[in-house]
Amino acid sequence: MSAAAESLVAIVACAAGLAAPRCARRSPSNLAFAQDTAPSGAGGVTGDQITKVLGLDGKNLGTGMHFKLGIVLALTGPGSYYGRIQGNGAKLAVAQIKAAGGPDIELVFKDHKSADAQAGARAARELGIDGVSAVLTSYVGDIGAMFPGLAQYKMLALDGGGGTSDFGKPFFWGMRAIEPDDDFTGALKYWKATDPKIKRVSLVYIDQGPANEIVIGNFNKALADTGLQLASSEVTTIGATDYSATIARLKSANPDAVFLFNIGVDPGYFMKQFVNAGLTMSVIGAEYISDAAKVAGPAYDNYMFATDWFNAANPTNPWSKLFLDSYVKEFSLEPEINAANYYEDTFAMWDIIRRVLAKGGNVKSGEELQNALIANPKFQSVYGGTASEVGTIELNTTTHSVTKRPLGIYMSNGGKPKQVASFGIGGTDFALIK
Amino acid sequence: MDYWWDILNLVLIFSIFAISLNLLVGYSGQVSVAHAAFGAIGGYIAAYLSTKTGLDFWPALAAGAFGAGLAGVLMSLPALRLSPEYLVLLTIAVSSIVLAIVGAVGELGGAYGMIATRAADLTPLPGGELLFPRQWVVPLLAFTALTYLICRRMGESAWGRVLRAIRDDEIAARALGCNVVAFKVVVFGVTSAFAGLAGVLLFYYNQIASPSVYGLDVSLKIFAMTIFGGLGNFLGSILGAAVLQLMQPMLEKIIQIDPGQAFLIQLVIYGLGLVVLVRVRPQGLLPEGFSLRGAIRSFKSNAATESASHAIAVAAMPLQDARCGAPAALPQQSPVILEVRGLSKRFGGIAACRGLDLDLQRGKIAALVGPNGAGKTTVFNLLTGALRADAGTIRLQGKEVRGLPPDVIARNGMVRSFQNVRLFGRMTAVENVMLGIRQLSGDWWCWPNGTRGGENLADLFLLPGVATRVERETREQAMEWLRLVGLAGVADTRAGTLSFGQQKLVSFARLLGTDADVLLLDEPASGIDSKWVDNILGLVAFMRDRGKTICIVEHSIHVVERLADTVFFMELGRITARGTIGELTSNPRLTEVYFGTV
Amino acid sequence: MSLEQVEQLAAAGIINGSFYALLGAGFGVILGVTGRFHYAFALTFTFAAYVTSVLETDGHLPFPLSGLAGLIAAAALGVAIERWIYRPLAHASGALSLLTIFISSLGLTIAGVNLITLVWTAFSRSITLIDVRPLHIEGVTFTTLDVLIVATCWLLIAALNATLSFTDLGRSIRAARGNPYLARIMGLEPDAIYLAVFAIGSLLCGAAGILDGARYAVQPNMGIRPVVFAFVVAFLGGTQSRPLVVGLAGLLIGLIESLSGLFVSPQWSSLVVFSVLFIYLVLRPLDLRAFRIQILSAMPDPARGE
Repeated sequence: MSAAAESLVAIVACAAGLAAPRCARRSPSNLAFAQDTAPSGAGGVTGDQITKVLGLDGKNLGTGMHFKLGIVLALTGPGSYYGRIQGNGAKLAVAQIKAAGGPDIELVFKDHKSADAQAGARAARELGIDGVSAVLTSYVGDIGAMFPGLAQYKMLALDGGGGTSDFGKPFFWGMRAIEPDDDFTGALKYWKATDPKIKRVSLVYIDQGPANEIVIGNFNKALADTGLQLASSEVTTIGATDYSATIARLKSANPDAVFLFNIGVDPGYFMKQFVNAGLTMSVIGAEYISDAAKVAGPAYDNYMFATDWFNAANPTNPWSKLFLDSYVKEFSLEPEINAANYYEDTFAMWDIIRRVLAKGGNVKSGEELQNALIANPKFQSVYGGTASEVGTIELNTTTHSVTKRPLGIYMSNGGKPKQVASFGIGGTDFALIK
Repeated sequence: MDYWWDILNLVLIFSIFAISLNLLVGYSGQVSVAHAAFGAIGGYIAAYLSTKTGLDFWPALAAGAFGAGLAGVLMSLPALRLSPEYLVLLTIAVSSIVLAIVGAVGELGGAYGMIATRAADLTPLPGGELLFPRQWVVPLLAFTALTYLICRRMGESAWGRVLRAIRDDEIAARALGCNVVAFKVVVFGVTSAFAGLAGVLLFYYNQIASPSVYGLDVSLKIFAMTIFGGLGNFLGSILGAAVLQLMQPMLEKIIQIDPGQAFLIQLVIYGLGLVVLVRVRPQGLLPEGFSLRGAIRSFKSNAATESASHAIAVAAMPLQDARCGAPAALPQQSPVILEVRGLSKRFGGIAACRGLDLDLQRGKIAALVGPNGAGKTTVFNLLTGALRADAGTIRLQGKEVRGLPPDVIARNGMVRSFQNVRLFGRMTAVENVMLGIRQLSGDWWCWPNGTRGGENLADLFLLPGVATRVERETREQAMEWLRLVGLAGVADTRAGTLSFGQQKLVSFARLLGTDADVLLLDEPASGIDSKWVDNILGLVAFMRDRGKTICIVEHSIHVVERLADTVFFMELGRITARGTIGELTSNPRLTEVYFGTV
Repeated sequence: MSLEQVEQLAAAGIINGSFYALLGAGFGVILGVTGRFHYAFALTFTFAAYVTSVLETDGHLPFPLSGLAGLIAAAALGVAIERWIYRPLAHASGALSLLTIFISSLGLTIAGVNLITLVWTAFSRSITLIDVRPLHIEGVTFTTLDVLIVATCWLLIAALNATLSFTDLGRSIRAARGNPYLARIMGLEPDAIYLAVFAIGSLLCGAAGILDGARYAVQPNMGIRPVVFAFVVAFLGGTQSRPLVVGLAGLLIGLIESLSGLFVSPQWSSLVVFSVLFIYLVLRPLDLRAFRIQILSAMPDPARGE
């Protein structure tokens, strides 16, 4: 793997319902390989349950129709763990959709080898040549490598892994809150609300090239809005394991708090070295995955994170509960944000298909699919909602990004993250949880 | 169908990479793992210019290829003096630096790279915009064919012969008058330019330029394609590119299991495939010099060469009938052709040469004798520029040559032979001799060796007729020299398979081919039996009679007696006595120093 | 830029540098003696870490045993590769063996790393060697693990140095390194020596892998970046040099990498290291070789009883 590919570990914001020891790791004892080879079953969920919980009216379901859905993930390379989890979510959804009378969705898997641009471009081309009209992408369309192909072959793409960091790309829609811009608005408010001694905050963030300026600009703006000050800002490389230089610099700057925007396993390495260097200031990050927690070990005890996380410990609406139970049953793992996103995005695709069928349109046309999305950019979600109502996710038709998505601040709590605050996109509706 | 066009297109683009790398690694012996990095330079230049300034396809392509070529030239300068292992290290460093820069500079998109704003547009040539894989096929075929033809022309010509000589024995090539520096710079520049071209094509094809497209792993993959296809064979490079590029899609079709595992298994098989393929065919799919015509020809001539290699110098031309080496001495010229004064050289604490004075008379044979360790070979190295002298003057035909590089001195008319022969083992005898022959010309475009014909890129590409004619003449001349030394029968045999005696004769023919006025022969009669010795000594005398000036280093008093007009006795770095052999052997002190006894 | 920051970065540089030193010494002895571009060094690195980690967590073996098992696994893998992959290939390739072995090594690494991912997934694993506690000395912080790493690296390098200088095996190895032809004539068996060298070099590599896994985490691609550093340090130190000299080169690289953080943002550190390397290679033929020869000739050589 090239140094660049290896270092682009996961431009996927993840959250993980974690580490009940029984779920932590699959023992390789009774399988030739330890990858998930679970049959793509529906996890014990019946069609009726789906119909009921989503309130489907039974019309234009697309029963018996064969539909190819592209899915481009990191199946090899450093990020292959995420690819596996994302694939799980999609597979579960496909089985449940079929059970509920939906189409026969064929998942066409492509591997972008953990952010290999050439593989991504090729994947887009191959899917286009194959006549696929809809794709689930990851890593922000494999770091943008898929954008030209999506536009050329007119394939509607939803990215529930990396979301979108670039706005308004044709046919490409991000299904996640913006990292870190949405995340740190909540984090700053949290500090403001809970600890008046915190005045100076440092930002540690990954190098995203031209996006760096935007990130720093937004951070400064958020600081101004909350009446806090910038202590310092540090850039790190994606996938770095050695943070000694960054931490040395932080030591000199001596902030009251640190907002940590790095992704994948990186926070784990960072926190391990941070704590071992004897630093004790409050750290709020933008990511939580079980892998990183494992790497950090006890260094994660006081780690907090702010993001649009799927809280498996507390499913917020009836569909979340259904998803959680069926996922656990099917894969013997607790679902993480990756699985949840690809699960609900597959259902969102089905929603779009239903809309196109209702109009008598052609589901093999990516354009028609996108038009159906634009006409009503709202979909059901396993996030948010209430005990009786399923949540919704809303998209902005100009930026192709989410306008409505529940975010939260969580404490890592020794492996079972606990929510301490909630807020929305842009830091709106911030509220501490008692 | 587009699926297969897509695969073909990538095979073609990688063929361009592999063919050009073959010219660099296979023909010139310069091992580089930075090839994809030059692709990055080309690709990023094109990407930057086309996205930020709206430059069209052709100018962007030219800019990218040129920029990469320039970078290649710059990299070649430090590479000139590095041994092969350190050269690999240099290319690793260059690759890492290039990728670090394009990956970290915000203007170039960082990790995300740059996405193309427009598709490639072939106007003013027909073809228009290239949007779909099938539209790319013909243009890419054209680019690949162009690369193949140019590289092949360079590799399979006199120019390529010099490259291969540099690959096999740089020191010997230099000593014959090949401007090694210039050749290396050109080959680096040209191959990097082609890599840049391929990089630009990749950018337009994928519509993105990002660090992962040109990473070290891509360089290694191209390297594998080249090695596996066969070093020194351009068709092999295309085959190698095809095989390695096709492996993944083939595996995808064959292995139909759970996607989570499928891609991992494919990579395992791909890796193992490399191990197996290279073991089964280490010389590559198509070895060097392999071509259908050649295979048939060599099959037929195999029987002939068998017997020839056993023949001792039979059918040597009677020396007086030889038509080459016309007598040159003009009455007005000074009798001293090489004047050396005060030559000195120290190695740390050891003085190899201390104020050495030497005169070589035109048309005479001088011998340099002395006990072992006196510094005789060092003197030859100093005279020919292989070693830099600390002080002193070396005047060849009145012109000061101390400090000039060996190839310049060779072209000025002073060449030397080596104790260990140093033939280019992988080339045939006649090719070896051809490497000594140069048609020197003063024209300004006769660069880098100052010659006409195939060693000169201008002639090679612009005046192919001249190149062919010169090649033919060179070969005829080489055959004459081989006939003179009696080895015309083994002309097309690989020099490495000849016996030591035969090799010495071939190296002598090669030396004669240079037509240099001063020949320095390092132990010409050592290591061979008496029959061969007679041959060589006869040739040496013959050349003296033709007006050449010769200096030999010898241990055998008999050889010296037979040949030398003057003898220089060297002890501990300086000439302590000179005269005829009779005078020296009658000096008791000298005989004691030399023989250890009176 | 405070003194404390300099000291902290220097400490980090020494820790990283010791790690690079071990890598360079292990890779260097293989390259210097056998001339093989053993890219699969990355695989040995990773394999040792996995064996140790799996035995520790699944097999519940305590550290000394699991670490030992990891080292043995690494040495065994290295020897197996030389015996069954490189040696037959070298015989078959003749003059081309440098290149074909490199390709073979590359293929092995690709296959091996993905095989490891298949068997053990890409999920990060850990290795626990000792209780990790921070230590503070004069405003510089590091951990007990860091101390163990530095100590282990230099102990192994010193052991290698001593082996080469004092033992019969070491003398045979040095003979084969200096002049393989003559060594064979003298009755030394290069084949056996190569196996020994691969065992030793792979052992050092495995140690580095285990230390790296303990310091950070164990994941399938962990060896890819270290092998480049191994290569760089081995060449910088000189493939015919004493392991301690190679070690010093590694230390230098580690310090350059770390201290560059004083002047540029850490994301540029690898650019700094390779630029320094580039400049060294450009200047190298001029002065530094002579400089190094002077230093080497000044050092006492125990083998000559100095």
